[in-house]
Amino acid sequence: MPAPLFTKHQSRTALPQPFRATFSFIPSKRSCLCLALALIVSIPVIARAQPVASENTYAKTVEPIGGDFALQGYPRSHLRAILFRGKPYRPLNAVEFIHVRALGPTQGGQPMLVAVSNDFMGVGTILIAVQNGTPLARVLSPDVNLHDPDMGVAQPGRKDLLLFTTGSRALVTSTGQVLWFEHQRPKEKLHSIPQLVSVSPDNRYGALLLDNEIRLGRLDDGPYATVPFTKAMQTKAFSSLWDESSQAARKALDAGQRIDQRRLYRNLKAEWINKNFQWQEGKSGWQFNGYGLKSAALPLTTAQER
Amino acid sequence: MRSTLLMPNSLMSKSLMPSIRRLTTLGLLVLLAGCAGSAEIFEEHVRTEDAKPTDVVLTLDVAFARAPDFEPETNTYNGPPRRVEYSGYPSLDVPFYQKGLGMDLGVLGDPRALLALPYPSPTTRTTSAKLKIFGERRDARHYRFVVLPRAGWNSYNSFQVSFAVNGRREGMTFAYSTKAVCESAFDVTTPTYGFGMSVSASFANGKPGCLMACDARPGYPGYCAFGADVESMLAK
Repeated sequence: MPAPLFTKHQSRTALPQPFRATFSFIPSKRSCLCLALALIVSIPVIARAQPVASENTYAKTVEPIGGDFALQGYPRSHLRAILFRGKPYRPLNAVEFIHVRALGPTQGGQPMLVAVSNDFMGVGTILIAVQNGTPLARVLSPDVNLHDPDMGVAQPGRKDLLLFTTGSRALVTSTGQVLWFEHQRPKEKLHSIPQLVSVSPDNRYGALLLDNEIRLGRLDDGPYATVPFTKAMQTKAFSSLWDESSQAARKALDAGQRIDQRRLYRNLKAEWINKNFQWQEGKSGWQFNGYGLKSAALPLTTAQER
Repeated sequence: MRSTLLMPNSLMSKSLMPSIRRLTTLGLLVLLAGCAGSAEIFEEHVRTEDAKPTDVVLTLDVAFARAPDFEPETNTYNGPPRRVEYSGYPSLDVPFYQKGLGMDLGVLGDPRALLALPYPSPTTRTTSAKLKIFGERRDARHYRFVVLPRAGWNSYNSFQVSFAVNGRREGMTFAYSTKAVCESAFDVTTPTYGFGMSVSASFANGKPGCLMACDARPGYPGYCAFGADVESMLAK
C-alpha cells in the first residue's frame, strides 16, 4: 500500500514544468521585443518599397487582344478574365481562363478567340465569335485539364483543320467554322461514344469512330454510310498506339509534365485512321475507304423523312 | 385586493411595451422568412396557346434550321396542388427570383467548449423558381413562344429556348429589356451542337424593346455572360 502512495507523491512533486516554462519565457519576451523593434525600424523601408511593387505586380492589368476584346488579370497569375467593350464577359458562365488567343479569322469585325477555361466552373476549350454585336461561345472540347489543355490535333494532310477528339468536334482554323456530326440515325440508341477522326476535304462530311464501325455523317444531317472497321480490327490496329501513348506519358512524367494519356491515345487513333483511310468522292457522295474496307450506304432515313 | 392586483398589472404592461414591439418585429421576420421558404418553387408548366394575351411580356418567333423533336405528352399529377406537366417539344425556361428574410445560426464562443452560445441572425435569402412555357407549333421548323410573368416573383429578364434534335437536348439563352431599344431579330448558333436558329421578338402592346443572346451555360438562364445587369448591357 505505501508503495503506490509514494509513487503518487513523487509524481506530484516531480512537476517543475511551470517553473521551467517561466524561466524560458523571459528570453522569448526579449526576442519578441527585439523583433518588434526590428519591425518598427523596417516599416519605413517596407512602406517605401511597396508603391513600386504594387504598380508592377499587385494591380490588375488590362491587355487588349484585338477588336473590342481585352484580357484582365494579375500579372503574376496565369488566369485571365475576358473583357468585351470594357465589361466582363463570362461565356457559358466560365469566369477565368488559362489560355486565350485570337484564332486569325474575324466575324462581325471582331476576332474569333480560342479560350481554355480554368478548372473551377470550367467548360473546357471554347471558340468565341461575335454574332450581331454579341459574343457567342461554342464548345470545342469539354476536357477540363489545367496541366494539358486540349488544343486539338491537326488532321494529317490538312493545314487548316483541328480535330478535338474528346468533344468529337473539328475546327476549321481558316474560317472559324466548328463542325459536329450526328452519328445516330433517328430513334437509334447506340452505346458507343463517338469520336470524330476525319473530315472530308470540303468540310461537309465527317468520319466518326464507333466501337464496331466507322460512321460517315453529313453536316446538319445524320449518318449516311458505314465502314465495317470492326472491334477486332480496331484492337489489332490500335494496340501499338496504346503502348506508344503510355510511353509518351511516362516520358512526360519523367520530365515533370502531366499529360492526358487517354486523349493522346485518341489523337493517335485519329492520326492512324487518317493515314490508312482516304476520302474518295463517288457517285453517292464522299466515301472513306482504306485498310481493305469499303464504305457501304446506310438505309436511307434523312431529316426530310422524319 | 382588486386595486393591488391592478397596480402591478398596469406597471407590467408598461414595462412590457418595448418587448412586445420586439416580439411583433420578430414575428414579422418569421413570417417573411416563411415567405422565402415555402414558395411554390416547383416548375410550373404553361402552354403558349393557354396564355392570356394581356399577360404576355414578349412574343418570340423561332425558325429552327433543323426541325426539333415533336412528341408532345401531357402528364397530370393529382397532388394537393393538382398540376399538369407537358413534355416532348420545344419550350422556354423562364427563371424567377424572390428575396426574403431567412435565419442563419451564428455561434458565439468556441463550439468545442460547452460555453458556446448559438443565436439566430437574420439574412437575406434568394429563392428561385422556374416557369416552363411550351411553344405553339406553326410547322415542323417554326414555333411561337410567349414570355409570361409569375405572380409574386421577380424576373431575371432572361429565358432559355430548350429543344432537342434527334434526342440531343440543346439550350439557347436570351436576355431582354423593355427599356432599351435594339434590333430584336437575328440568327444565332447554339453552343453545344451548333444548331442554327433565327429568332425575332415582339413586345407587349407593340412597344419597342431589345432582345439579345445571353450566352449563358445551357440550363442556367439568368446568369448571362455579361452579368446580372442586363439593362446596362442592353442600354449600351
